[in-house]
Parts: sequence; C-alpha cells; structure tokens
Amino acid sequence: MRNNVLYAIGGLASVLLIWNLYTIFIQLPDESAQGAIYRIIFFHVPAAFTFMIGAFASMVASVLFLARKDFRYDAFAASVTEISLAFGAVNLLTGMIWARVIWGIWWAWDARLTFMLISWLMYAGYLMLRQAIDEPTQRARLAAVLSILTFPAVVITFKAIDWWRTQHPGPVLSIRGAKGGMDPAMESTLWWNVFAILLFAVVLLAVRMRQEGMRRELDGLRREAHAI
Amino acid sequence: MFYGFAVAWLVPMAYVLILMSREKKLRDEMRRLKSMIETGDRR
Repeated sequence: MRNNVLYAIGGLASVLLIWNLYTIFIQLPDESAQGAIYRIIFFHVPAAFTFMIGAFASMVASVLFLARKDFRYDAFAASVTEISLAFGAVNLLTGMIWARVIWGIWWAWDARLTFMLISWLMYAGYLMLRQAIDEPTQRARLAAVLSILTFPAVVITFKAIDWWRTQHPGPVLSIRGAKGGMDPAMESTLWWNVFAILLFAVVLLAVRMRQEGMRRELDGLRREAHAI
Repeated sequence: MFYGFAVAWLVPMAYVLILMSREKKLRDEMRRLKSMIETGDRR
C-alpha cells in the first residue's frame, strides 16, 4: 500500500516534470534581457525552495527530538537534511552557471550567495558530525542542536535580498511582493516545477527514511550476532 | 544553458544512484547477519 502511494507520487512528479520541460523549452519564449539562459530559474528557484523547506522540516524535527527523545524525529531530520543538501547543491551550481553567463563571473561574495554557501556547508557539517559519532543518543542530540543553530542562516539567506543590496537579483515572485517581476505565465510554470520537484523530494525522503529504519534493524541484528 | 540543465538533472540523479547503492549494501548486510544468526542458533 505504502509503496503504491510512493509510485503514484513518483509517477505524478515525472508527468509534471515532463510537462514542465515541454512548457519551459517549447512554449515559453526567451526572456527579453537574458535570452534563453533565464530558463535556469525554473530549476534554480525550486531547488532553493526544496532546500529551505527541508531545512525548516529538519529544524522542527530536531526540536521535537530534543523535546520527546523519539528517534523517529532524528531519522526524519537526518533524511530530510541529506535530501535538502542535494537540492542546495543544485541551487548553488545552477546559480553559478547563470552568473557566469549574465555577470561574467562564477561567484560574488554578496550576502545572498555567501549565506547560502554558509548554510550548505553547515548542513554538510551536520552529516559529517553524524558520521563521526557512534553513540546514537549523543549523535542525535548534537546533530539536533546543530540543525537548530543552522536554521537562522537559512532565514538570513531567504531575507538577504530584502535586507541588503545584493549582486543577486531582488525578489521576482509575486508572493514576495515583487512589482514588475516575472511574467505570470513564466511564474505559474515556475510554481508547477516547485510542486513537481517537491513531490520528487517526498519520494526520495520516503526511500531515505526506509533506509534509516533498515539501519536501526541492522543495529539490532549486529547486537544479536555479537551475543551468539 | 545546457550545463545549467545538466547540473539540475545530474546532481539529483547522482543522489538517487547513491541511495540505490546504499540500499543494496544495507540489504546485503541484513541478509548476511540474518544467515549468521540462523546458523549460530542451529548450533
């Protein structure tokens, strides 16, 4: 039953992604100032949303773990952080490729880019910390604290384009109050791609959570094997 | 633009491959431990 739901979500995500690719490459025209390269935004922004939603979910699960000491929250936080990190990498790399074409440079140390990199590195540190500690309770507690401490960097990343003048473009989405931002047809395609990529991330999360369950089962089997 | 889209697809696909290989390792390890425990119990 659970697998069927996952296949259904994965199938829906695939259909939506294919439809979005058709819209992005065939139906939508080039942007007047940037030409064809603007199309990177259709993956750059959904990857950023997935990263930030994942970071928020990790922070909430970490708080719940510290409050209730339930290892299911720890497993969820570890899984969602790993998936967020993959989409954070997509966001950073697609942004760099766009910057190379539009700005002529790969990177600028402005507030948005720098805080995104700091957030990404801190979550990478979170996963490294988990690898470094063997004792499960200590590992879960320290990882939860690190996840909670890292989340403000994600909030600063999100708000950086409102708070400071950055090399990174200002808000272009209507939900952020942008005036004269994206064309409505382009923005609706972008939101459909946010939805499709979030669905894809949900499937990855379910697979990753199953692996955490298998790991717990393996720990039990190893103890049993040692006892023999 | 090609490189941008290549990255947008390659990174998640690489992650999916990592997940699949990790799952295979976990299943192999579980099978190995279960058979070890069954053999030990029979003795």
